[in-house]
Amino acid sequence: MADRSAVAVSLPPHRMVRRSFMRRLLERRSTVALLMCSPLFLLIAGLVVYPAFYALYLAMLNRRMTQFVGLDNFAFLLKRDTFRLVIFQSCLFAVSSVVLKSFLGFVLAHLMSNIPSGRQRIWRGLLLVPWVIPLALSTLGWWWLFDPSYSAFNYLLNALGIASVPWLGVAWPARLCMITVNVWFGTSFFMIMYLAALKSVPEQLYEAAAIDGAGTFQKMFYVTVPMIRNVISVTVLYSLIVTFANFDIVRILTNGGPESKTHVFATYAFQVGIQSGDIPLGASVSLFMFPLLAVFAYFVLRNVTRRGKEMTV
Amino acid sequence: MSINKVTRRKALKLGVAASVLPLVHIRTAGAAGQVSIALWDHWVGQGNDVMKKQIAAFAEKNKVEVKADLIPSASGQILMVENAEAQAKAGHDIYALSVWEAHNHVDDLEPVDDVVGRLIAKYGKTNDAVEYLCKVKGHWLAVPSSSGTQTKGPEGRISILRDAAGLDVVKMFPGSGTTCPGLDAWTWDAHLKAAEACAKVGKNFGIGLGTTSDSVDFAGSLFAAYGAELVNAKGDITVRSDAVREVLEYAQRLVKLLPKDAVSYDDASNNRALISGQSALIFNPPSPWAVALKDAPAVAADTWHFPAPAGPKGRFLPYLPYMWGIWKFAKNKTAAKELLEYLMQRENVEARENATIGFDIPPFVSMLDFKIWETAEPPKGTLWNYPNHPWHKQVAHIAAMPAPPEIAVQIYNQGTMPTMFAKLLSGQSVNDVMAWAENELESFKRA
Amino acid sequence: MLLHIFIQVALPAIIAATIFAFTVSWGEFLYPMAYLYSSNQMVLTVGIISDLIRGDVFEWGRIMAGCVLAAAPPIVIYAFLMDYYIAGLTAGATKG
Repeated sequence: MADRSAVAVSLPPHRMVRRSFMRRLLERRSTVALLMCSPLFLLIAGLVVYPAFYALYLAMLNRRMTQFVGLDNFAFLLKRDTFRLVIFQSCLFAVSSVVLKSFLGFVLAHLMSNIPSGRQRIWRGLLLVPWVIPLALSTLGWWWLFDPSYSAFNYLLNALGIASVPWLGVAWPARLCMITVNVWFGTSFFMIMYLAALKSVPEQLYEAAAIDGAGTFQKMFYVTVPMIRNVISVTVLYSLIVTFANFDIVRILTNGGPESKTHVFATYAFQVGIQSGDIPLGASVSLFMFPLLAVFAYFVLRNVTRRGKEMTV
Repeated sequence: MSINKVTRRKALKLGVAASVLPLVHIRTAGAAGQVSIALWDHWVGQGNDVMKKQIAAFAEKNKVEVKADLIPSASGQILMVENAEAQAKAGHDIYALSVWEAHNHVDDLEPVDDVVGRLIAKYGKTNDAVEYLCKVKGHWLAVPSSSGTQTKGPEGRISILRDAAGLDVVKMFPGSGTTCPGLDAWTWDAHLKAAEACAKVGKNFGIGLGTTSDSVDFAGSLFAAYGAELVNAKGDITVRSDAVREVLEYAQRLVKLLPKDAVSYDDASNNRALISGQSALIFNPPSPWAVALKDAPAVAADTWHFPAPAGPKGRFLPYLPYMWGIWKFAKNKTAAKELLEYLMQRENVEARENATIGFDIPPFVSMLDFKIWETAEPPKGTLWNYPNHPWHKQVAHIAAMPAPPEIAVQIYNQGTMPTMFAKLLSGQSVNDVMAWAENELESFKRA
Repeated sequence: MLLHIFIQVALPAIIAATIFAFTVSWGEFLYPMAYLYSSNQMVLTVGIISDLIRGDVFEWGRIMAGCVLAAAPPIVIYAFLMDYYIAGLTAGATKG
């Protein structure tokens, strides 16, 4: 540091001023940090911001993409019964899947943390299998189990003397099937996240609680849950985003049927935008996810920051 | 999620740039240029192989380098890539477009009036449905293709229809000759009676009420036979008509006779229903028969193809065409046009026809005399009545025709007609269904 | 400094993020379907669906074999790096 400033002094005055300004700028850690992050910003601008705005622009065009129509597409969609049903189904699908995944993941994580570490590794690995098989392929397997003509489940039911269930042919069973597949797929992710979080809870807290006479459930609700609350929030939010945007499950299982009663945003956007050649309307459909997620994110993240403040105080 | 991903212009260009090692890449000595074509991945018979050979021969003769990709229609890939290319204004020179896609990309397609004009001069007229789908404002925007083009008439089990329903389809529609003694008796009412009789013996007609093309095409044929139009040629919504009511009343009786899982049928479900022997009749091109030849020979030998039933307004054969369009941004339009003209020459169409065991339907009426439909077996003559011969007196029809194409495409792709049937099945009244359809169609009029 | 302190401390988190990103991209379906169309450049997910489902013929045996093969790399990676993964997640968690 010292000899560099000596060099600066020896320079002509006007250059010195500029140099020192540059240097002052560079010496500010925040500036350096910003510069070093610039490749990342560029990447985000190119791959996230630009497409997002392009989608927004597309969503404001007319069907032939020749005219700017402002928010007409959104207003048009909101008036459609079919689309209102899509909003309902997307919320139902995402929220109930995430709640179930979170609950089951929590239970599994607890069971898992009670297994000694050697065997735990095996169980952990096995339970992760649904999550690592590419979803499109495992859903195909599920579809085969639910298949209209050759459902393996129906085969079992018939063997027990129960009549076949048209799994994917009636709206509510079909919705339940979709949720089941998503829960099967995503629970292990929650389990891993919660398991990691559980390991971070200091053992002393439990000991202290035990001394105070806390039972198992009291420990869970007054020690575990508050301690891992942030992980729960972040995992739930992440999963909500991914589940909302899910395409594979619905597309493969029901393709939106029966009677368009199982469409979610992504599949409906595909049908409207790609299959029916109305890309602007399709873009509007997928952009509807944004305000909904913003609302969810607000409620979930609000708790996180509030907790952060408590910690610093 | 799906949309903004697809339309990412830059990402696509990268994707295309990364697409080395194409499936067919023929470079001859002294190649003068390069042309690329995206073809429908033909899964019936050996259609792909013959196509590749023909393209190689073209490349050799014309000293051009041809890059051909086979894109499956499974999971909508052929549509996804097509839309991505149209958005990015980059990709193949020629693209295989299905049913409505020429109308969906009016501004992106190069007119091919010269090519089609020469083909028509040589081979005569195409059918009306092809013209409705390929010709926009007086210009041909795509060359009607045979590859993947299919009609979806009834395909039934000889023994079941004879024993349960008393229909001797082989006698009614003989496997050779130019007369069909049973044609006049083969009406939608007869169809309903047969469906009832077959359902009684547990062999339901495998007709789907889903939203994929097989379900839609069937419903379209039924609507047309009664003269029922959801939207007329001028673009007015005409749901509340006696004809539509008649169709719905017919459907109300029919849907009860269909398999329990009919609403969740996709384009493969009906095929499987026939091949597995569970179904007496489906509406489909002969692909299940072709599959059964290998997997269920007894079923194949008992399968017969015949014309569509007739209604008060005539006999309408569901028709699903593929066509080849040349993008406006294509780099080598001259070579692209030459290639398409070459591929649609009679001898080439026929060679591909033989390789696909008669699956493909040529767009030109004069090509409906290929030998393969006469000779394909077992049973001999089963395919004789698959193509639309003049003596069948049936009209090649695409569901939702004659509505203005930009409305028709939505009626078709969102499966409005079969969904109306599905609603009847779930217990809604004819009036409820009409009200629902009216509301739904109102939204399709969006400019 | 970078190598010995930053990366060392951040290693579990880096590994966790990498594994996670890998799993997600490995199973990606929609992207590759739009951009890759030749049989010889297909990724596993799209390739299995477009090459092993021929119209109405599902080659279930091969599809399921493909599923197993497709699941194998992530499973192997998790088997070896799971402890890092959990450590990486925990590192973030302890700070609250």
